[in-house]
Amino acid sequence: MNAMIDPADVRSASVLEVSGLETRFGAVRAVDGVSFAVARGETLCIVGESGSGKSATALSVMGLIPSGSGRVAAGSIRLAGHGELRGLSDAAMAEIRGRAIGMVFQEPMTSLNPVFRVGTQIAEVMRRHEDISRSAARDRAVDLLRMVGIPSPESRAQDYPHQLSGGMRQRVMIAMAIACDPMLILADEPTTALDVTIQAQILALIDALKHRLGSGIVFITHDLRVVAQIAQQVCVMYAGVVVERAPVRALLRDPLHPYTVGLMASVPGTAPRSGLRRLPAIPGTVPNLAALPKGCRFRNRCPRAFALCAEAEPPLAVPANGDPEREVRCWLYVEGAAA
Amino acid sequence: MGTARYITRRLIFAVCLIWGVSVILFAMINAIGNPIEILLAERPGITDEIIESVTKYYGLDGSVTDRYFTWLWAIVRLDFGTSIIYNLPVSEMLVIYGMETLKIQIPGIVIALFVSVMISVLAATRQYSKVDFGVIAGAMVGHSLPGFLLGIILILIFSYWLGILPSYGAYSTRNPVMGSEVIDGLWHMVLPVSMLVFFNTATLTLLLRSSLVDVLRQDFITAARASGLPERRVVFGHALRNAFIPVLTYLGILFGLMLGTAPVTETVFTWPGLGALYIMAIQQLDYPLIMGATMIITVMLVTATLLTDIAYVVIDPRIRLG
Repeated sequence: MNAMIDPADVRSASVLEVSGLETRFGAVRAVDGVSFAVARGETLCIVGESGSGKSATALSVMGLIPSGSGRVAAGSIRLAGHGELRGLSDAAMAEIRGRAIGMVFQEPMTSLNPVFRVGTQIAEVMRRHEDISRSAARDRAVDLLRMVGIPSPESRAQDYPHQLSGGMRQRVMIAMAIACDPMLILADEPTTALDVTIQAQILALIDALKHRLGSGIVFITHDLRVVAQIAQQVCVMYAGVVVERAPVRALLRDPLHPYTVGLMASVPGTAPRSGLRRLPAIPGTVPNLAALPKGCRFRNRCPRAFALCAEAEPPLAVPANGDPEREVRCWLYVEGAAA
Repeated sequence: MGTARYITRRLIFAVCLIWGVSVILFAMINAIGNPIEILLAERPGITDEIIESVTKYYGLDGSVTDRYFTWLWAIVRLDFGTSIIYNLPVSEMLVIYGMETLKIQIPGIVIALFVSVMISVLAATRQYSKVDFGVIAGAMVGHSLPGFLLGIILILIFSYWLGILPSYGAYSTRNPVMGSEVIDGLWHMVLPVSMLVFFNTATLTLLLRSSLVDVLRQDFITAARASGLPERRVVFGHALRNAFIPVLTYLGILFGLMLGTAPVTETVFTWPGLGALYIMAIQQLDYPLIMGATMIITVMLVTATLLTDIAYVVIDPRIRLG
């Protein structure tokens, strides 16, 4: 790419562009060269199992990697209208957090402060970022609660978190995240801790809000059924790297990377029914990030690994003779590499 | 509505508790025997007739229940009788000596509270740093040091070697410091208050720091940061209020036991407070004074506990439904 061209001009629709992001905790590279972009009104799902680096990616974008234990070591995080976020002071990042980027967390039961009324907590975010009176902020908090589907929002705003159910609390978290009309919403497994029926409601709510606000959404999950419901673009992460990136339909129809194939097979209902069959599991566990094996990170668990996989790490590249909108990190799809 | 009922319930409980203490106290004092006999026996010229008539004069010849209810009715009217040794109304003495105790104990707690909040924030936001370890070590040492030792060290340094601060008493007998009685009083408070601040800070810091470390790890703190709140607001507004919940109990005990723990400080600095008075009353078997002081200490402790319970309701909304 020509260095003179601003990346923001190349893909002007992008709200967030992350490239070559590397986040280290001591010697461990929890995020190791991750790149992705999200467009306005688009949902990007980052999929992976625990320890794949998906939450660390979200916290890196927010500038919330705890300074005592980790740091963003390399790469660039560009937010439309704000430019490069990496290297901004904490005070400057605090201006962006909650205003330009809203975040929803995994645990609605513990993500709200137990000693403040929920209406007050929403109003506080608005008063932090906008010049708005206390009473106006309070009125808008009630409007937001109504918008996220909380019944009788006037009285609910007066409630403390412990008086609300998990699903209601997650709606409150979403109301807080969208309080200042952010251009980007980061949702870190927002439905994982919820019942399946509530999960579906929250997913529908996030999708509806995306259309209404036009924000870009980065949705982190380990659940491919959630991906199928909400995503346009998908990044599959494994051991700190993106192993596959594709539009959602293509990925679900035809997963390329052996890890993605394994993930799909281990979801009930995605494979052909064969009565009471045992779900296949991917053998082994995620490698220790402090002592990664040479070559491909997945090869120890990969049913299709061959000699080259142990020697060199495959690049994330467009598959040979494949869809140019997709990328996969696997030697099987590199021309001339497979034996 | 729940809050009012909660407080009413606690209030009734508090009154019952004080009444219970009064019964036990009276029973214990009664078990010692007739005070007139103990005080007057074996003195020259004291005959059984004199003891009998004095016993009658003080109304000590009635039945235990009669005497208990007479006493109870008197203390309800805040009449604690007359001190045998000092020949002064006990209620008056309790107020005068009590004020002297509060004069050093209240600043000792309030200042310690501010200092421990600052130190705890400093340490907890830098967990496992040198600052943090230094704070933990200092607080542990301070917490385990015998109370009188620090007092003596302070006297040694500031009174004996440097000669800048008075080592005993609440006032100068003559020539007040800088010619002002107010400054003189404050000047005398410096050492005893410093000692109290030191000990209270050590214990409060141990509790508050670990509580704060725990709270700062909670999801809602990350969420508060993610909504762009400045770090100062996150720590002092969101974290501290939660971190205080477990510390509140100790703070309540501290206020309640103010008079109970006063003897050590007041003995070291010869402070004319309730603690010193209490010890003296026990040593000299001044019954009305012992009973009055015990009841006052009980009321203080129960009141502090009650206020702690109410403070919990204010600070932690999760209790309000209970």
